[in-house]
Amino acid sequence: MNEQQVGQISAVLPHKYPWWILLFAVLISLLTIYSIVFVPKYIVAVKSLKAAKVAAQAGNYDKALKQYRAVLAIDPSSRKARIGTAIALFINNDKADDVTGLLLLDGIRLKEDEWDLIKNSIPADYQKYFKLKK
Amino acid sequence: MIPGWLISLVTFPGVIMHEIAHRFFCDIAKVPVYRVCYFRIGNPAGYVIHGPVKGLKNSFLISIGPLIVNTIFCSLLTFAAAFPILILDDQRYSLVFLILMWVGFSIGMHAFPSNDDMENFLGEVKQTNKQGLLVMLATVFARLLRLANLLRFLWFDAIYAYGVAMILPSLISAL
Repeated sequence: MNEQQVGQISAVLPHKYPWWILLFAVLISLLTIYSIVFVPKYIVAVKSLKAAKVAAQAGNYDKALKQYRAVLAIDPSSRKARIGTAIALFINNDKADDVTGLLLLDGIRLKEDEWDLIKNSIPADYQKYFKLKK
Repeated sequence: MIPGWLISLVTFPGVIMHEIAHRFFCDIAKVPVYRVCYFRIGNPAGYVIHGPVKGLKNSFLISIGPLIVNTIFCSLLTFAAAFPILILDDQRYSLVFLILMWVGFSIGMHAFPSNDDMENFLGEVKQTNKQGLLVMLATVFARLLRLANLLRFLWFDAIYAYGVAMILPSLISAL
């Protein structure tokens, strides 16, 4: 469009937007608010996950378990928290917790490094419950 | 190679947000806007035709507006969803979070001002006939954005959106 053509058309009114753009803006604003509302609880979950990993690495599995459970209370679907909780449950040598540990791993497709971690903490007779998938 | 119109179609919220940002900053700078297309299937997917811009600051705001607005909204929209999807590694994602990620990523992918925007801005920089740090920085910035546009064929726009989505959650989890 050249300058002559531009000169022939009138400018649109400033700050006047089509109705569907206003609707779009409202939807984006609602989605943004929705996102921000959920942030604090996920910050707590991420902090707990970090604390759990530190505790597990230090061998403090009771503390790790408590922190992993705090993550699962917020985000029950977190693979990292489920795997971490299961490992902490297997390591505490309380047979009663083993079923909970196995249930937490139910349906999870483990990566090789995750399986290596679990293999080292799980009683040998439980390994039959895991299947290799390629 | 995926055609540009298809990428624009899939990421249409980003195109609309990009044009809204141009239009908004034109209004703020009191620059007349003659025609706006917020979205269409074609090249370009959207455009704003506006009158002459007075001043480097206004030109900067109008040209760089989408980079500011789209980056902020990409970061905020993906903020909550990035935790379960990218950090906590959830097995199942809620539909709302997937929508948030799609909208946020789409908006982030269209943050870069187009080469035409950069041409306008560089033209304004040259017209000022000034020498100094501000002009030098503006020129470097404009060239960087042109490079970013050039790298779009390597999905640099998607990499940028991913980076913006990850930056706040990563900082928080590292603290």
